[in-house]
Amino acid sequence: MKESLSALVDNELDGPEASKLISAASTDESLKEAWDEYHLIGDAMRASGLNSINVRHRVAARLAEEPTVLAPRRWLRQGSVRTVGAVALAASMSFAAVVAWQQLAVNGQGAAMVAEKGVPVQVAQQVEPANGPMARDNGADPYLLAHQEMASDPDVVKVSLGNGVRH
Amino acid sequence: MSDREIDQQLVERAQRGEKRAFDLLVSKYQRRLARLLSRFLRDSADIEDVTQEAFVKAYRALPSFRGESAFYTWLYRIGINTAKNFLSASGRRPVINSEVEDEDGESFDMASQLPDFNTPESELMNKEILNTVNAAVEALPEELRTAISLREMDGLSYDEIAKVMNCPIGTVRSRIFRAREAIATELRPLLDTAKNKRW
Repeated sequence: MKESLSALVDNELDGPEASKLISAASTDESLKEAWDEYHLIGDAMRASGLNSINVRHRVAARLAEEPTVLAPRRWLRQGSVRTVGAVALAASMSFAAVVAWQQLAVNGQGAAMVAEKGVPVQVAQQVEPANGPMARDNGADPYLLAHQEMASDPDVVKVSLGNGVRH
Repeated sequence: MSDREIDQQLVERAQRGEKRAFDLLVSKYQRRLARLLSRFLRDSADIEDVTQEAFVKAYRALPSFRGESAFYTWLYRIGINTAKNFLSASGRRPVINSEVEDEDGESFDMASQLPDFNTPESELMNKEILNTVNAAVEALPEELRTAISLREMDGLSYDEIAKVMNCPIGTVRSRIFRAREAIATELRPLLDTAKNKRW
């Protein structure tokens, strides 16, 4: 364990093993002492001076009297928060898709058939009033005759506005 | 895992209420912070007091630390402000009034400009630690001495040391660990003596 800690001090330990060791070093007194000693040795070898400074125990005593700090969760691991957000969004979209699919399956049989055939709905053919003022012979509509060549699909022109006039 | 990633994990643990995780950050940075503060403060007791105060302030401010800068850069800023407040409150002037408001914490590392650590006890302890470490390093078998020196003094990675020493990385890791343990064994009696003593 201490050999791994030594590697951690040198930034030569990665992944879960490093995280696990950081957790262990926070709680295990012998690992904590080793962490302290390894850093002191490094500082002393670099002849940085002030090696005799040791406020660790005094700071710990002061912190023992301090209320425990608890940071808002949003500061913690912003990457994780983003990941959770993305998963939540994906789940919402999946749920919406399932609900929509079920609605289609229950109510949309006709629509599904139309979709299968790939043709426009022909709703206007039965709408024509039998004796309305605008009633006329299909074949005799001069407007339709004049514009028939503009329609790519002959079925499309049969849509009605409800007053018997076909366009 | 980089220094910054290790620090970030420790900070996050402390932010979740683990005070002991913060203790590891104190262990790691107390000498570097004290070295920085010695540019402002002359007296070793003041340096120690302000170092301690800066860590306590940093702990209190942890909820506002978002990890946008490295922990030590953030800590050093707190240390500098604490030192300035201390000097202002005590009506004293800094030892060296140089600009240290650099984003890069490493730029604070100017050991050559350190004033004397002028309390006889502190000076003595400092020398004893240095002498003990130097003697322990000299007494190491050559392969351990080379490995630890390349790492601590030259800053080489394990991979680079393995190439220099023509051995596997696992061997480098083992040698550095054994070197540290050998040095620590020599240091422990000295540190145990000092543990409950204020230097």
